Amino acid sequence: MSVINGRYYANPQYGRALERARAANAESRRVHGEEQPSWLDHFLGLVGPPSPPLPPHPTPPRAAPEAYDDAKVNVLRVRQIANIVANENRDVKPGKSSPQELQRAKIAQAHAIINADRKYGTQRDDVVGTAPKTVTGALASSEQYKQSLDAARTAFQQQLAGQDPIGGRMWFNHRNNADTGARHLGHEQVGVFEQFGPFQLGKHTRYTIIDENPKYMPKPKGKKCLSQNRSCF
Amino acid sequence: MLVPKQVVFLILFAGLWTPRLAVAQASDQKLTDMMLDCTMHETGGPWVDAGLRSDGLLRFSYLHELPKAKPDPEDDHFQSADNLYAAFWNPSNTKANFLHFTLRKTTGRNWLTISNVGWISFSKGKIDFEIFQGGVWTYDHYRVRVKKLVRAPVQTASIPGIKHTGALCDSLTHPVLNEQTRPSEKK
Repeated sequence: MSVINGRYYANPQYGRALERARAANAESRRVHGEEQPSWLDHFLGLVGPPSPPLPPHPTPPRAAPEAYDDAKVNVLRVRQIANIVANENRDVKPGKSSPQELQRAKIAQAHAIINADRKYGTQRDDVVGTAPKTVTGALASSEQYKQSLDAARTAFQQQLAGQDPIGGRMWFNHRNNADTGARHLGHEQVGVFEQFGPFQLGKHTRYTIIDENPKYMPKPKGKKCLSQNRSCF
Repeated sequence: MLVPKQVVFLILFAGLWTPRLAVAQASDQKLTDMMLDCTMHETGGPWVDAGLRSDGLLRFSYLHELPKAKPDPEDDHFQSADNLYAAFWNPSNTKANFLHFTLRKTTGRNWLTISNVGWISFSKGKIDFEIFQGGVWTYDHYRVRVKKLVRAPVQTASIPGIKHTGALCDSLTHPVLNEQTRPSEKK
């Protein structure tokens, strides 16, 4: 005796075929609506009370916000990215801009850190250095830290879905004026990809800048992300 | 004739320290030679704006910070690295290029990476400073060093006299990523 979809069948082949037909019928009803009875059914009194509508298509359960906090990009975990974002944006306030604009700037910086971690791994600090991966207790319990954590989670999930609003760029900084001019890096001119702000840091104005990547970008040799406990892309 | 104990002690003390000072000076000379070599000869360079060296001279001040004996791997990466900060000034010492070098050793060779770049100027008597990479925390870290660089003695070097030292030089725009030659990081 076989059990298919909770029903018992002596002939499993027959049972599978019947269950397929049931499923197809149910799907057809869901898409096209319930089949209306004919005038003959009404005349013969075969039409009963209307059946309750089928439930709407179930939505998959959403992951809890903290679900990815321990996930690794390459060397860095999501929470460490949040810590870096918090340190690099400590006490930066929206100022004349909206809180959403500041959050967009933090998400962009989280993407930049993720891109650099994916590209350089343990060598990231040598060429795309940032703040420490840890935060002080006071910062960790602040509202601005929650925003940085949200930014890191958002950036990580966007990258998991194949989205990167800054297109692989890795360098960011804060300028104290609205200038978006290119900067000399050795013999190269490196331009600005995106500017956010103006924001406020104490009495000073700050703009968050995502820079273009320099032209020469070597590919790291050797495969990274071989460890089993890493969720590499 | 009796020699006072203090004098004996001073002579002994000076004797102990003179060779060390000589070694330190030689070491400093080697360090600045490597720094100038990489500043001018690294693939992505030269790393000093043409306007600051138009007279054929480099005017620089520098600050060398050794790694901590027991760096906390969770703490900032500056603690575990051998860091060299330099400012290359214009003739009137009012404008400079800032460079941060990370020093390492690999198979007997010194390895200098130009890790970050900045621009120093003065506006109404105050230091105006911008960095290429990093936000609030990184800026504050460098700003403390820039203040020291402003006060440090400025040395000069003739550009044609800057020699190749054999040090391995790379930079944020041209990083060398060969895993076989790259020193492994024990964090």
